[in-house]
Amino acid sequence: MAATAPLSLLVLLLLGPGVWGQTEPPRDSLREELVITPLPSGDVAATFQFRTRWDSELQREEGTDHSFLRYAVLPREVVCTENLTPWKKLLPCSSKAGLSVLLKADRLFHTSYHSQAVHIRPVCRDARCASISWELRQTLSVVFDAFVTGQGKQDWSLFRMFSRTLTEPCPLASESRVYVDVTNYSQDNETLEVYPPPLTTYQDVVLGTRKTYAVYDLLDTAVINNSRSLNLQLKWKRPPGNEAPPTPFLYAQRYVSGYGLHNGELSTLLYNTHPYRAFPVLLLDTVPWYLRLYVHTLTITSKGKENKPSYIHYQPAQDRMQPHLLEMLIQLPASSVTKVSIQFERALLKWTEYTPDPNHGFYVSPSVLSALVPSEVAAQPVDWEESPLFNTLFPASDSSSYFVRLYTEPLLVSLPTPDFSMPYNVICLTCTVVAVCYGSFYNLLTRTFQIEEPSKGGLARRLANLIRRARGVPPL
Amino acid sequence: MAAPGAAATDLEVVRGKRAALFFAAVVIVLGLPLWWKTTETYRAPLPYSQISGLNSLQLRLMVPVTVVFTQESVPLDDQEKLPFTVVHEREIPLKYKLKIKCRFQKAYRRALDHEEEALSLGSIQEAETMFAEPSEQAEGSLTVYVISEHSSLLPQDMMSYIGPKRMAVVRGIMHREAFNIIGRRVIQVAQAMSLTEDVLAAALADHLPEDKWSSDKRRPLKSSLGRVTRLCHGKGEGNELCGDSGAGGESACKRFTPFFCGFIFFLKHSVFLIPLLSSLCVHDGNQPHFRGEPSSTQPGVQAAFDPQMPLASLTPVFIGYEITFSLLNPDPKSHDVHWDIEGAVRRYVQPFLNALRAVGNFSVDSQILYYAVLGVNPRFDPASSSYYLAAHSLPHVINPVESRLGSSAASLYPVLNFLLYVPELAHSPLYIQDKDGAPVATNAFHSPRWGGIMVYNVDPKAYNGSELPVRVKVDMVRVMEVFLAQLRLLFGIAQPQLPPKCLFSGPKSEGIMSWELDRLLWARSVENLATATTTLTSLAQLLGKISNIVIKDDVASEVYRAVAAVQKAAEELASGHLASAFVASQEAVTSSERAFFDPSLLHLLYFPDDQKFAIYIPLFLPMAVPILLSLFKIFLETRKSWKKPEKID
Repeated sequence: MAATAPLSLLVLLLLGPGVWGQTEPPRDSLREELVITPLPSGDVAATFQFRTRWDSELQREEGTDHSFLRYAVLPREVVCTENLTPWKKLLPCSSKAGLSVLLKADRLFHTSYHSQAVHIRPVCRDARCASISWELRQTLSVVFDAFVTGQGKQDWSLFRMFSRTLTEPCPLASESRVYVDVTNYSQDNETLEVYPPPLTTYQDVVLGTRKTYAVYDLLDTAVINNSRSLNLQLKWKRPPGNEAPPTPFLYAQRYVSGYGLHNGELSTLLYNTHPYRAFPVLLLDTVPWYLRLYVHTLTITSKGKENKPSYIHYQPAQDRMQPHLLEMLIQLPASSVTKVSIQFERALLKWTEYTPDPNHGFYVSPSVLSALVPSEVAAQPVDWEESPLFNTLFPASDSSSYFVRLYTEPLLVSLPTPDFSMPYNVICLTCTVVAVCYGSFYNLLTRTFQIEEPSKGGLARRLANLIRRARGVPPL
Repeated sequence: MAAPGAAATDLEVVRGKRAALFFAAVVIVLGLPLWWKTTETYRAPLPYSQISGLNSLQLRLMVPVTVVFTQESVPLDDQEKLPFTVVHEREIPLKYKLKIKCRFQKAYRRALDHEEEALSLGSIQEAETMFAEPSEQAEGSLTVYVISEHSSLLPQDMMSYIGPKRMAVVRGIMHREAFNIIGRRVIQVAQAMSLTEDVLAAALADHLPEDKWSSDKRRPLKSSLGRVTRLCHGKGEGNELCGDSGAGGESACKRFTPFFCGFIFFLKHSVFLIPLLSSLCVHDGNQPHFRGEPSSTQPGVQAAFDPQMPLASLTPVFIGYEITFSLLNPDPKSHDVHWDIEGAVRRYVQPFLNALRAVGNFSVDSQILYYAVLGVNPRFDPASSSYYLAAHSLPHVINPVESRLGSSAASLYPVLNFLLYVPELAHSPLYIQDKDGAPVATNAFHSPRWGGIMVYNVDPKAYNGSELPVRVKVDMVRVMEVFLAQLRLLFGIAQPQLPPKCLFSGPKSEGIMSWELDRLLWARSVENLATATTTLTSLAQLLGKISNIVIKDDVASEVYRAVAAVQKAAEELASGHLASAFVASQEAVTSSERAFFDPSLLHLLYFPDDQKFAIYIPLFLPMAVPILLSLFKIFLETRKSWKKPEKID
C-alpha cells in the first residue's frame, strides 16, 4: 500500500499551486514528442510520448480508499504487432499524421529493445482539486541496433529507422516536437552532426544530469517547409569509441538460486553506486502462492552487515486466492550492494492447474523499486506544464533528487511436475495385478486335479538307467 | 482303485464346473454393474418429455380490451344489455409447429360519469389529458371508447382515433346490428394497437426452423436479393435496398465484406418522424431548432401512415444493448467539428430508452474518431458538382470504419453503432444515392443489427473567408431525428397497419407510444419463448445423441427452470398479463442459454467410450478369456450329455 505514496506524490507534484489556476487547459489537449538519443555504442534510442488530457465530470473524493487499491501483473507476454495496433488506436491522429506516422510495426519490432506503456491517471484541474481531468500517456521506446540493420554504418536518419519521414504535425496536437540528445557532442561539432541544423536547443537536468537537446518543432512551419518533409539525420564524423555507458546510481538484479525441486531462494541485488550518498528504496514484491515463502529466512545484508529495513509490510498468500505481498523500505548505503534473499518451498499444484507446457516453468513477477535518487546536478524548479513530457516522467521532488521506479527482470521458476499419464498407468497396473491374482484363483478353483500314473519313459529316466547299468545297479 | 478314483475325479469335475459357473455369475451379476456404475458419467435426469411437449406448444395471447360505450353511441335497447363480455378468437396462421391463437377479450360496459364528461369535450387532446391522470393501465390491455355517431370529438371524416397511451376512440352507430358493427371496428383498432401477424412473423422468423414458411417475411432477413428489391418498390416510405444486385450479389457481398454482409436501408424524412422530434422539442421548450414540413405544423397529430416498415430490422433477443454514437472526422485539418452529444442524448435518446427500459438494459456512450475514412471512394457528379456514394457500394463502407470503432471490446452487450460522418473537404458535399440514383433525403442509411450512418455535410458558406480549420457545430436536432428514427427501426418498432379513416396521434416526449411498447413486448415475449424452446429442444437432442456428456445438477436445474418459465410465460400470456409474461420469457431465455452454454458439458467430450474400454482391457481380457472358455466347454459337454440319452432311447 505504501507504494501508492510515490504515486500520489507524483500526482501532487504535477498539481503544484498556480499551474492550473491561471489558464484553463483546452479540452482534449494532445501533446506529442519524440526523443532521439544517440548512444555511445552507435545504437540509437527513440522514445515516443503522447499525452492526451480531457475533462471529466468525476468529482474527486477525499483521500483514497485503500481497500479498492489493486495491483496486478502479468510477468511475461510475447510482444508482437498485435500489441501495437490497439495502442495506436488510442492516439487521436491514429497513425495518419504527426509523429505517429513513424509507428510502423515491421520496423519497431525489429529492434533490440522495445518497451511500450499506457499510463492513465486523474490530474487535478485547479489548486483546490475540485474537478479532475484524465490524463492518458502513451510511451514507446525502442533501441535500434546500429551494426545489424545499418550494415556496419552508424549514420542514422528517420527514414532509415522508421522507413518514413515526418510531413505534417497532427492537427489536433497543441505541441509536436522532436528532441535529439546532443549533450556529449555539443561542445565540439567534431563527433556528431545533426542535419538539418536545429533552430533551437533546450537545456535541462534530466535524471540528475545536465542534458542538451536539439529541438524541432513540427508546428513551426519553417521546420518542414524547406523540403516538405523532415528527415532528421545523424552523422558521425568520428566513429564513436566503445566507451562504457555511465552506470546509473540505482539498479537491481534478481535471480532464483537453490537446487532440486523442493526448496529454493529468491535473491534481489540492489546497487547504489553513488559515491557518498545513501538513500532509501521501497521494494515491492509479489510472489505467487505456489512458492511458499519462509518469512523467517528473510535476510537483508549490505556490505557484509545486516541491514534492518525501517518498514516491512507482509501479507501472506492464500492458496488459489492471493499471492504473497512483501513491501520493505530499505536504506541503501553509499556505493554498496544490498542483497535481499528469502527462501521458499515449491508447492504441488492440482494436475488440472498446470499450464499446457508445465516443464517450461512458471513466471514470477518482477519486484518494483521506487526511490528518490540523488542527482548529480541541482535541478532548477521548473513549470511542469511547460517542460517537455520526457522530463515529467521522472519528476524531481526537490532540487537534489528525482523519482525513479525500476522493475527487475521476471523470473522463471520450475515447479515439480507430476507424470501426467499417471492415472492411466495406475489403472493399467491395478488391472494387471487384479487379473494375475484372479487368474491363479480361477485356476485353483476350477481345475480338476487327478493323480497321473507315471509314464514309462522320459529322457532323464533313460539316461539314469544307462548310468545305473554302467554302475551295475538295477534300473528304475 | 479305478472306481473310487473315477468317482473322485467326477466329483472334482462337477465342482470345477460349478466354480466356473459361479465365477461367471459373480462377474456378470456383480462385477459388470459395479464397473459400469463406477466409471459412468454423471447425467442428471432431464424433463425430456416436457421439452418435447414445448415443441408443439400452443400459445394463446390474450388481449384484454375494455370497450366503453357513451350515451347515444348505440341504440337504447342495446345499452340495456350492458355490461357483458365478448371473446373474439382467431388463429394466427404461422407455418410453424408453434401455434399462436390470439384472443381479444372485449369487456363491454357503460361509460362512467367522468369518462362521459371527458368525451363530451371539444377536442380529442383535451379528452386525452383528462383521461391521462387516473388511468394507468396494465401493459397489454386496451381501452376503446365508443362515442356517438355525430360527436364532434373527431373530425367528421374520421371513424376512429388511436392515442399515444393505451386508449382509442371509435365512432358508434345507430343500427340494429350496432354491436356487431362496432365490434368489428373495435377489433380493427385493437389489432393495429396490439398484435398483428407480420410483427409476430418477423419476430419468429429468425428463431424457428423454416419448414413451410412462406418466403415473404422470411426473405429480407436472409440474403435473397430479388425479393428485397421487389419489396422496395412496393414501399411508400421505408425504402430498402441491398448493396448488391443480381444473383451473384450474395457471394460478392461475402467476398468483399467479411464482417458485414448486410442490407442497407434508407430512411426518408417521413412525415411520421417530424412530429416525433417536434413534440420532443415542444416538450422541452426548445423550439428554435424545430424545422418541420408544412404538414406537420400541428405538432402531435398526424394522419398519414406507412403500411409496412422494414421488418428485417429487428435486433435479436438480448438482455441489454450498448448504443455508441461516433463522430467521424476524417479531415481534422479542414474541419473542427463539435457536437453536443451529451445534451442530445439527455434530451432525446434517454427518454426513449427510459420508455424501453422493460425491454433491456441500455448503456450509451460516444466517441470522436479522427482520420476515420469510409472504405469507398465517393464518385463525382459533375451535374451538381457534388460527390455521391452509390447504393451498391454502401455495404463496403462499414468494414474499414468498424475496425476503428472498437466499442465491442469494451462491452458484453451487443453494440448498436450510430455514426455521424463529416466528409473531408475534398469530397464534400457528399450525398448518398438510392438504387434509382436519387439522393436520399436524410443522407443516411442503416443496417439491421449493426446501426446507422449519417453523412453530415458542412454548410459550404462556412468556407467563405475563414481559414482552415473551419469550426463546425453539428445541429443535433437534425442528427438525432434520424438516429432516433433508425433506433426505432432497429428495435423493430414498426409502424402499425391502421384501419382506414383513422386519426393517429404522434408519440409524446418519449418518442414511443405505450401501445407500441406493448406491441414490442408481445413480439419479444413470443420471440423469447421461441428461442427458449429451440434452445431447449436442441440441448435435449444433443444430450440424447452424445451419451458421454456430463450433465451436472446445476445444468439440470437450469433446464427445469427454463421449462417452468416457458410454461409460466405461456400461462401469463393466456391470461393477458403481458408484463409478467415478458419477465418469465426472459428468464426462460437466460436459463436455457445458460444451460446450453455451460462449460461443464464439454468436460468429458474428449474422453469417449472406446478409450474407456481400451484402458480397462488389461482387466477385461485376462478375466473374460478363461470364463468364456470354460463356459464354452461346459456348454459343449452339456450338449453332449443331452445327446447321449437320446441315442440310448
